Amino acid sequence: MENKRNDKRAFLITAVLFGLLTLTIIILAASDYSNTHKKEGIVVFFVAIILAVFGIKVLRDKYESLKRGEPLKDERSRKIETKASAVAFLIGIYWLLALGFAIDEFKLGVPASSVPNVGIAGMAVIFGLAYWYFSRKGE
Amino acid sequence: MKNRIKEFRARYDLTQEELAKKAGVRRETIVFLEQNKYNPSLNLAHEVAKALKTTIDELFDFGDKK
Repeated sequence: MENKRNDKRAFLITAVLFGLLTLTIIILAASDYSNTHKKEGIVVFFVAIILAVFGIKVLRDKYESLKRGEPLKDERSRKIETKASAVAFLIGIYWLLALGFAIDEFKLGVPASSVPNVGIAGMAVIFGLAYWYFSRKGE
Repeated sequence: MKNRIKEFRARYDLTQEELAKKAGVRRETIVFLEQNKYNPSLNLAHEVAKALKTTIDELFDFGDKK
């Protein structure tokens, strides 16, 4: 009973955080585009759309699990999360190094203030891909 | 590590969802267990064995029989 309540709370928190994140990205993209009229704003907007579609799918799956009375997380999903986090951290370090190198070497025109955002977004994508891979691979 | 979860589940006419609920895990975990794609912890092995009214030894083949 207590676990179910915790799962419902976790689901609600995840849904609210996801909504806030998507909204923030959309507002950032809109303000960026209205200020500069650069195509980067449109790219960020599309990223927000992809994030929204992916997030709605994940939230719907979690909601279905809740309705079936399944726990949101179990030992296998926790193991997958741990593995995916480790991989995202490791590859993320190289991703940040490569990003720093590419910006200097190829004059990508990315402002220095955007580098952490791109770095973190990249790590999030790597985490998502690693999670997807490990959840299908098995042991 | 091979197991006989599918066989025992059929014996008690349980669905994967019902077994998952009894063992306190998600249905996908039971799917992966039945496909021998996931090695459970001792605790989960015990929970699944209990749900199928058997023992860990009966359910899991550790490949050490001579």
